[in-house]
Amino acid sequence: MDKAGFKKVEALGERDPLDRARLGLYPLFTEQFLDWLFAQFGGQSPVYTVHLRGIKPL
Amino acid sequence: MTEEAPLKWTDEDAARIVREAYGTVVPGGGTGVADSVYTAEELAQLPAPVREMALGMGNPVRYADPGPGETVLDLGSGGGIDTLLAALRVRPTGRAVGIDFTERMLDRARSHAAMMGLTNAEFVYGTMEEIPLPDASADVVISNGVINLSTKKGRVFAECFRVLRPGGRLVFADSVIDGCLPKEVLENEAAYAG
Repeated sequence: MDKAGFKKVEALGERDPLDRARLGLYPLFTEQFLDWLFAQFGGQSPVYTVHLRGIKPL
Repeated sequence: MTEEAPLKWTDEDAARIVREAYGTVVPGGGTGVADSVYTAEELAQLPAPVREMALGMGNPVRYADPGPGETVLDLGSGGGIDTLLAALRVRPTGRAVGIDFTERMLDRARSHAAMMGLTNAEFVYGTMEEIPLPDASADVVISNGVINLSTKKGRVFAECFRVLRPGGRLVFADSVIDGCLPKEVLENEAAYAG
């Protein structure tokens, strides 16, 4: 974002882990796929959701 | 998110994977997602078919806090939930524009806007790497779990910068990772689309 010219780039709120229960809400993923995915991660998801904000300078 | 993560696919392959994954989502699957990221007040403003197509990762509208009269652009608008929440906030004089490159999602989003009687929400075919809006035409750009799907993230941020007015804000929700994804995950189509 900063390379594009944005200023005051910041994370907003807490970052939420995309754990098995959370990913299970999405219809994009089958149970079989999630079994495979979390096996690749050793059972622990390294992925999080964040909110980011950047401002275009005046 | 890493810049330009190494992928085994061409840009066209990556776009196909995303189109196929999101173009085949069955309505009704996203209710749990909507309940997990939107407030009860927000959900109360949305008809069931809109809530059921929620596939985002967070709530960028809440953090962007668009106000009356502003123009909001939603990158990868899908079924339209974030565009429509923005349209509710910016009316009567503001507007919200959702862009998506999946025709089926655009059709659904337009149907949802009509269902809600929102005439200040529009849905346009386009990509986030080539946003079909003029320079400095938006006050706010939002996106919800979509920028990670681009193979040209630097280009996406440059386009967001271009279409924002001076002082405008880009607010998005997306996934980040501690470390690197295993090669097996990086090369899996379902994982990429997700």
